[in-house]
Amino acid sequence: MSERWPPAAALEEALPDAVEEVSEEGPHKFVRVRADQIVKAARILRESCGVDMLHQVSGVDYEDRFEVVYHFARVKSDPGFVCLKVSVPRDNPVVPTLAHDWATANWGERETWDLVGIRFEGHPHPYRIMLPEDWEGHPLRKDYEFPTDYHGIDCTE
Amino acid sequence: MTTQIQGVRLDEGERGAPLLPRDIQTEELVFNMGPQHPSTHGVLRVMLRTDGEVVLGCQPLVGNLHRCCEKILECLTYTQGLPYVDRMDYLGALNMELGLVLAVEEAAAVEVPKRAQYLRVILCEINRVISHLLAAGQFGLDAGAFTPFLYMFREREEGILLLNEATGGRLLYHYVRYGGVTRDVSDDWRRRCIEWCDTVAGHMDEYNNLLTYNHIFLNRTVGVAMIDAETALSYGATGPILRGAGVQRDLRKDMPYSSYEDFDFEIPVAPFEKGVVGDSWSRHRQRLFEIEESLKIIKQAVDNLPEGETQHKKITRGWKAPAGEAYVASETPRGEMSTYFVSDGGKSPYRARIRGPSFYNIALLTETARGLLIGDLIMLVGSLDFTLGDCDR
Repeated sequence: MSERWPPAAALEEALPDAVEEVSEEGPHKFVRVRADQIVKAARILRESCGVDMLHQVSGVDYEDRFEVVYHFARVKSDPGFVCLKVSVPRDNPVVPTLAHDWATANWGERETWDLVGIRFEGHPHPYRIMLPEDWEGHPLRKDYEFPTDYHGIDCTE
Repeated sequence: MTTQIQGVRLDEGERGAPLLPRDIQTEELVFNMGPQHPSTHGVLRVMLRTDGEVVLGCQPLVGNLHRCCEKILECLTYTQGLPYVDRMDYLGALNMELGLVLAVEEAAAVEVPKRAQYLRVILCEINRVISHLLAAGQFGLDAGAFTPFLYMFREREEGILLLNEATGGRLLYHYVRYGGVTRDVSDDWRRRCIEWCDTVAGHMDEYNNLLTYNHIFLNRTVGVAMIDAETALSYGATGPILRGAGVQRDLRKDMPYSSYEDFDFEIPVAPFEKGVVGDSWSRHRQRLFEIEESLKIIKQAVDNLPEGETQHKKITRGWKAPAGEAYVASETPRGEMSTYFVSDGGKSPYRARIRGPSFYNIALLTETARGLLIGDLIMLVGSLDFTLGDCDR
C-alpha cells in the first residue's frame, strides 16, 4: 500500500472517533471531522503536522447541509496545504470557533457568518463584517432571495 | 500619564526637558479615520481610541466596497465571471485573474500551453512591478515625500502602456482565460519589454537615494510599527509583510505554478542593510527588492518564450468545468491569494471562495496599531499596502 497522507494518519491516530471521512485521492485531499472536535483536530495539525497558519475559512451551502472548509498552511517547512472539512445541518449550523487559537479565524469566520450564515460558537466578535448590521439573510446561501429595496432605495433596476 | 512607546518617552523632550507636565489630565477620545481619508488607501474606515497622540485601540471596519463577487461568480457562466475578478485587487488585476483561473484549471485538470504559461508570468510580473512602484511611491507620499511618487509613476506609466498594448486594458485586463491567454505578443513588444525592464532596473538606485535612504524617511519608518513573524503568521498576513518579518515564504518558489520553476530568481527576506526585521522600512525595502527580482523573471521569460499555442484548443466559449474541487494559492503583489473552487459540473461555478490577501493583512491593524502614535499609524497603513477592493471583494 502506498504511503498515507501524514495529516490523515495523525488525525486518525489521535482522534479516531472524530474522523468521519478521509479523501487522499485527487488534487484536493481533505479530512472530514466531527464539528465538535474541530478545535482539537486543528491543534493536532499544529502540533504534529507542522501547520503554522490558518490560510482560509470557507463556507459552502450544499442545499442538504452546510460545510465549513478550513485550509491550513505549512509555511516554515515543507510548504503545502492541509484541508479539514466540517459538515453541519442546515437547520442549526453551529461550529465551535477557532478564533482563540488562530487569529485568522476571527475575520474568516465573521465573513462566513455574514455571507453563508454559519454560526461560530464562542466567537469573540460574532457580527457581520461585510454587510450592514441590519441586512437580512445570507447572500451565499443557495436559497437566498435578492432584496428589492434597502431602506427605501429601490434595487430592482 | 507616562507612556512608553517605541523607545520614545513621552514625558521627556529631546534635551531632557519635560514634553508634557506630569500632572496633565488627558482624556480618551474615539474617532474615525476614513473612510474618505486619503492615507487609508481606499474606503477603509478605522475607529481609533486615542489618548492624545497615542492609539489605545484600533478597529478597522471594512465592507464599504463589498460587491459579493463570490455570489456574482456563482450567478454567471465561467466566461462571464472572469472580468469581475479583475475588480477585486484593481492594482494587481492580472494576478487575481490568474489565481481564479489556476484553481479552475487544477480542478478540471487542464493542461495549459507552455507559451501561455510564460505569457502569464511575463504580464503578471509587469503587473507586480507597477503595483509595487505605486505602493512604494504612495508610501513616500504618506511620509510626506511627494517627489519620489512622481519618479515612480514615470516608469509605472510606461509599464501600463506595455500592458495596454498586450492586453487591451490599462488597469483591468481580462487577459488570462481558462486554458490560456487571449492574445499573443509581438516581437517588437518583447524588445520594448526588455528595454523597459532595463529602464526600471536603471532607476532603482535613484528611487533608493531619493526615498529609501532618505534621512527623514528613515526616521519615520525604521523601528516603527513592528510586526513580528509570529503575529504575521497567526493573522494570516502574507506577501511583503511576512517576508519583511523575516519569514522565507513566496509561493512562486515554495509551490511553483505557471512555470515559475523555470526561472532563476531570489526571494529577498529581511533583515536588509538598514532597519530592523519587521518594521515599516523593511516592508518598503522588501517591495523594491521584489521589483528587481520580478524584472529578472520578466527578462528570462521574454528571452525564452517558447513557440506554440496561447490557448487550449478545446476550451472555448461555453466551456464548463467538470465536477470536482481544488484549492490553489498564488502570490499576488499584496500576498497570497487563493481560490477554493467547487464545481458540480454546471454552467457556472458552484462555489468560488476567494482569499483576498488584503483582508487578512488589514486584520493585523487591530493588533499592531495599539500603542503607536497616530503619525506612525499612517506609516503602518502605508507599509501594509492593501487595496480595499481586494479586502472587500
